[in-house]
Amino acid sequence: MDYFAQQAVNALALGGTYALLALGLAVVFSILGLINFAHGELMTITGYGLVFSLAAGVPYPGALICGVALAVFCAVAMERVAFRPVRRASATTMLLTSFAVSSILHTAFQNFISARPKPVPVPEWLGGAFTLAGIQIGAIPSLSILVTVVALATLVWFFQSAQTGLAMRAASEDFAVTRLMGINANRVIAASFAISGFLAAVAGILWLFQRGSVDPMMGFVPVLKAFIAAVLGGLGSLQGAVLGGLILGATEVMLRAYLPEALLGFRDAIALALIIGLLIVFPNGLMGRPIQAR
Amino acid sequence: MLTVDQLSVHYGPVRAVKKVSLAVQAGEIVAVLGANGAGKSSILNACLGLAPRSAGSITLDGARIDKLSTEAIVRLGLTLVPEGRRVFSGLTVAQNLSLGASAIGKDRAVALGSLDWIFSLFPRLAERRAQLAGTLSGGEQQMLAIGRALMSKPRLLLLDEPSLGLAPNIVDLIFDLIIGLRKEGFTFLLVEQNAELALDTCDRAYLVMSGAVAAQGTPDLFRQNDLVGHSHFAASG
Repeated sequence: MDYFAQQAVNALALGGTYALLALGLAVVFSILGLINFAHGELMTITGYGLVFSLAAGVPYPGALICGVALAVFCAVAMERVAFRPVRRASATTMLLTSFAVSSILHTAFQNFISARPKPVPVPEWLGGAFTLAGIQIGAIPSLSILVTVVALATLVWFFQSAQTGLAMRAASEDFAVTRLMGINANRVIAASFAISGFLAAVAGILWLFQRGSVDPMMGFVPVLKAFIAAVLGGLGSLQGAVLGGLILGATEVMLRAYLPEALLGFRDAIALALIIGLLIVFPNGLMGRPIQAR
Repeated sequence: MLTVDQLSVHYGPVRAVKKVSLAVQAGEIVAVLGANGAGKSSILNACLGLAPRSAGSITLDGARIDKLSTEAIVRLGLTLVPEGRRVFSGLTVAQNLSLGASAIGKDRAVALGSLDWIFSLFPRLAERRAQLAGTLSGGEQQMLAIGRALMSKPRLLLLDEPSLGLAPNIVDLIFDLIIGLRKEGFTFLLVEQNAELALDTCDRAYLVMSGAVAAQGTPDLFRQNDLVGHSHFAASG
């Protein structure tokens, strides 16, 4: 029972991180119809921002803020430089552009920073664990859950009450009519990238705390997972992205915990097979809007 | 107030609007009539920068607006209630209206009392302010679409098929409202398939056939020469 409870905490922690990443993809997709595969690089950028700020003598909390701010800035810059010129192009063109941005950033990290992992100092207390109701819980998973809950609650408020949040939801339903309200299209799109950059940064920090280092390829696996989570939830649905992230995280953790040793190597294959099974039952994702049959 | 001069609209190789010229004076209600697919909506959409203009010019109060972005045009006081209402169905009535005030800013809308004004025009919307727009009836959605456009107190309102698919009593309500608002100084350009209804309401009308202006004049002129019957015959033949 204790083992299960511990795994449930881990599942929630990993699922929460996937949820933040998937949400970042979904916010941009719901408005532009673009899957931004350079999303993972924003996590990496956060890591480098943190490492270099610390090296420059910035105290830890300040360095975290620098890392997040850098990711938000880069997300907005990415839209301005790479995606705005192809905004009216087909979805495929935008998708390819995001791959290009992703590989340019990889190469830049490798050539101008280092191809090898750079250690990220993690605060000591995060290595610890505490006991709650007789169950040992790690500090990092607890922090992940707490941060995810705070981030999601802030976003719920933003999309329910803030004028920019409402404009973004309107734009995801009907972009032309949103502009008829006198709402600046560029500003709505820039805001969606800023939010996705923020979410990538928060998830990036949680990811870094787990692994303790940053390298050029760091963002690749998580963005792939986030993409799977977003598709599972229903592309474009924000609630769906969160749900998909939680399910994917829980599936991975539980398979790792309970699969017999001989099958552990097939963990990812089994997780993906389960998700494909879900998608056969829910072809538009769990909360996606139906798409006309082709 | 609004002048459209020699406007053409192309969708790829298809020319939907051919050298259309029309004008709307301040305080007028002007109707654009014609069969389905005649290019009426394209004319309105081009005025707001939502349809690709291939030639011609559009001016508002003497200044060219045809190169401006949609949101910039709306901020000048010209707006469009699109065909099919297109309310934001996942947002509440109040949220839809609040977005409608974006062109003038929320503070100014509060100062002008826009929300109270819309609720006095459409008491039904006040009752349903917390309801999701997608759950409203067609008539209520049309009220919301018009209310949302009025939130920024535009001077000139373009209405695309305001009567389409609505019950007769709702249609009466909406056209009474248009006539009432004109008395308050609003100007209207409306596209209507229901020609009788439009001729009862408007000061002047244009008849559009296959993308070009085929006739223009007062409602009396249209009725005397049976221009509308002619256009319907042309549409079905």
